[in-house]
Amino acid sequence: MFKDEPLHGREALRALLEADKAGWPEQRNEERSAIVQGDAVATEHRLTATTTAGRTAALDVLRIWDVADGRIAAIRTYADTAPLLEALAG
Amino acid sequence: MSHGAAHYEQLVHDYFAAVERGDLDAVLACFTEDAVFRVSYNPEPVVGREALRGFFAGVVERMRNRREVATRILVDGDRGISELVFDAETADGRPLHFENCNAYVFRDGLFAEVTVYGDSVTMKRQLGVG
Repeated sequence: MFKDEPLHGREALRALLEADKAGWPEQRNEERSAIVQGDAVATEHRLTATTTAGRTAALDVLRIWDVADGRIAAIRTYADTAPLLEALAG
Repeated sequence: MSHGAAHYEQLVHDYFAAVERGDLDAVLACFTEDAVFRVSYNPEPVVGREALRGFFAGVVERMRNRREVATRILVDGDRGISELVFDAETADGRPLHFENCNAYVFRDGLFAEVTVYGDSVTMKRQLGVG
């Protein structure tokens, strides 16, 4: 769900999203705020995700989106990943 | 009095510079009297300038050669964010390096709310406790 190193390109993103969906079949993002400056957007979310074993993690997430030509060119995600690891560990 | 984006961008730079210097009065001058300061991995927020003084005094004491550089600041009305690169050493000389992001709610030209989005897993790994 979160990676230390950036992924580049649609195919890498597809692989991430597929792995994400397989490992965390239930995900919900509750948007709490959004700010826009030029071609950059920052959003705050409450992310709730459930593992295939039924364990749930909840964490606050901040994402920064760079937009170019009407599409997402980059996303950077900031969050404390401890709740995800705890849910995976059971 | 309304304050624009340039004012709040400067406030962010002033805040990081004050934290780097360990200048607690200058740090606290960036916050409203009733400011709320949250860290993503701490369950309870720090509320009010006096509580913030104790919080930042602890931060200054535990970390030396602290350097925080805002790599990008976005401001939209009374909200903003700053991405930052943080380097420091623990009291026993262990190097720390984080890339965090702060979210801000501004009021009266100051920080009314700050939320630090950082990863406790990365921090504990670098501290050798996780």
